[in-house]
Amino acid sequence: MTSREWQKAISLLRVHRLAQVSIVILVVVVLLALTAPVLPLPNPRDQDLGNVLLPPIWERGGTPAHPFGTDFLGRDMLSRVVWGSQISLLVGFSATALAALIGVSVGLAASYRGGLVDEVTMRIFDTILSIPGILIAIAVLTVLGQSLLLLIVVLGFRSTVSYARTLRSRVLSVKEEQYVKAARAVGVREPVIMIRHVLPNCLAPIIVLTTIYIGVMILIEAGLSFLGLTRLHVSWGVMVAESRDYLATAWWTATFPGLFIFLTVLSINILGDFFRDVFDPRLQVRTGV
Amino acid sequence: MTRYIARRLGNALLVMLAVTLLTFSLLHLSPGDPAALMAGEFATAQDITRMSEKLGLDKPLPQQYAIYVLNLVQGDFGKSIVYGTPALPLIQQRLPATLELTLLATLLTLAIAIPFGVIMAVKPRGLADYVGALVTLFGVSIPSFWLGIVLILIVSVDLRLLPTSGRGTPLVDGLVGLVSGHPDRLASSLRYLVLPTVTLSAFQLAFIARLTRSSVLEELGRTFVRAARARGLPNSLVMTKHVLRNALMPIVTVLGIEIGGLVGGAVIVETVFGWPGVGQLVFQSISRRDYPLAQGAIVMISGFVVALTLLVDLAYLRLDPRVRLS
Repeated sequence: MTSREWQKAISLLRVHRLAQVSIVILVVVVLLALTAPVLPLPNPRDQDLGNVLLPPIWERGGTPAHPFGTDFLGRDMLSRVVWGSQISLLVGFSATALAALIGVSVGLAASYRGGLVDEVTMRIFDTILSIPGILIAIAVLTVLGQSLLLLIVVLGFRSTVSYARTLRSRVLSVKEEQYVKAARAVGVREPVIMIRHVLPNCLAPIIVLTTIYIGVMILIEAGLSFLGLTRLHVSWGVMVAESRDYLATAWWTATFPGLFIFLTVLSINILGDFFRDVFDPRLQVRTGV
Repeated sequence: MTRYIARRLGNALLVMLAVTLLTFSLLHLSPGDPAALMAGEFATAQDITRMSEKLGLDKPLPQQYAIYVLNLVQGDFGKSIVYGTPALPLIQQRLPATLELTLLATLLTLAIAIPFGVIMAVKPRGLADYVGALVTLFGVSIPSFWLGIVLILIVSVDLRLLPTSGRGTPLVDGLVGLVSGHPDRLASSLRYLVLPTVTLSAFQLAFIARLTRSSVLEELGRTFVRAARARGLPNSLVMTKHVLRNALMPIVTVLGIEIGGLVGGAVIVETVFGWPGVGQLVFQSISRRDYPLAQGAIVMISGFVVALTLLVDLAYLRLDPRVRLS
């Protein structure tokens, strides 16, 4: 971001109430995730079969010991929701970072060079796009075993495609700009042109895409947890999945984790819109999950 | 134009070939011996050797892959381990359920998202735009499985309006029923379809509506639109012929990309609503380690996505004369 864009962002943020609220929500969720181990909360895995399905504190039968109530094994809902934020944020941020890193490098290199390399890369991406990402994730996680690292790698790898494609459409127009031609004319080496001149001018859609993708990754992680592919962890998706049999009797078991996923992703998306407004309202950002 | 179509068709075939390579490696990446896996838990060493020969696993990998693809082309999808029957009929049996769910969700998406997006764009920062922005933001932020569960909780459990899960009369039979004077059949299929369809389309609907808004807004600012207005053309004509026609292009592109997401979302939605489709089958067969069935179902789903993407590519021919003429 240039300093002028920073100024624009800050002045827009002053009037953008929704963006302000979103930042507050995200800061709270990140703080909860980071401080979970030191917060005075019961262990999220501790079962208490004498106190199963206790309602939240404001309902009849609720206790101050469990402000959000308990689940079907008597585990403290508040503690589980707080600890669950760790998995969501970890997967959301690291999978997106991975996707951005690989996608930007591959997309930049392939589209800047053009020709056969570009053609082949795009065909490979078409293939990856035609298999629903969630199927790839399910297949890999069941065949190779459930692990958080594998989940991050699979999600990150799959989303690489969107980065590369978004960057490509941008590079194709930027590399024809006068300043690129000028740099070449004075004898700047190609890799330097690519990184110093082309890349910085392609970053705006990448920043918007990154914001959107953190949210999308959190949603996919929750969906896979819901399907039972990350059972080992305390995660919001797992909590919703486990509450399915108690919907009619204990609404809070599905509502709290779902609400946290929703609010987190909503805040991220509002920030994504905010960034899009800062840069250029006509940015072409391609997703595809 | 013929070159464009040939290119797209060739591309689709290449993609399908790559998909089979992926499903093929799925089996060979799995820890353990595939033959032992398929021979079952109580197989002797001899059984495993026999199974290995029967499946051709003793041959070199490239040859195995060639045989696998040739078999697929001939409709031989292998045998399900759990059911002990050929995989293809098992998949075909569940295909209509997924087809009707995804197609209906796509239709619902287009029928609502595009008009909605246009209304939002016509008066930017007006009331409709503000409400629309909020609703679509909710739509792209809500986890589909949670939306499904909340809908079941409210509509089915509390209000008792619709069934919680399962599938009624197949939609095709329902439509035939409507024509032949049995509207109750259509009602039976729709009653079960409403909640899964709404859940499945929520994300895409909101996403496409947002895209339509920005796309229409961009076209509205173009000089040829202002020129058309200046010439005194009626607003409806300007909107349909000049604005929408051009605004549809990026929408169609993104729709082509999002189809994969919609079909993938069906895995989750089918699980939430106990919808007996291919998505549920993929998930069940993988968790039961029924690899031949899972491979077949993944190939079939990808084939469906590729076919729909091809349709979208062909839709370009109608929408964009530049593609037709080049």
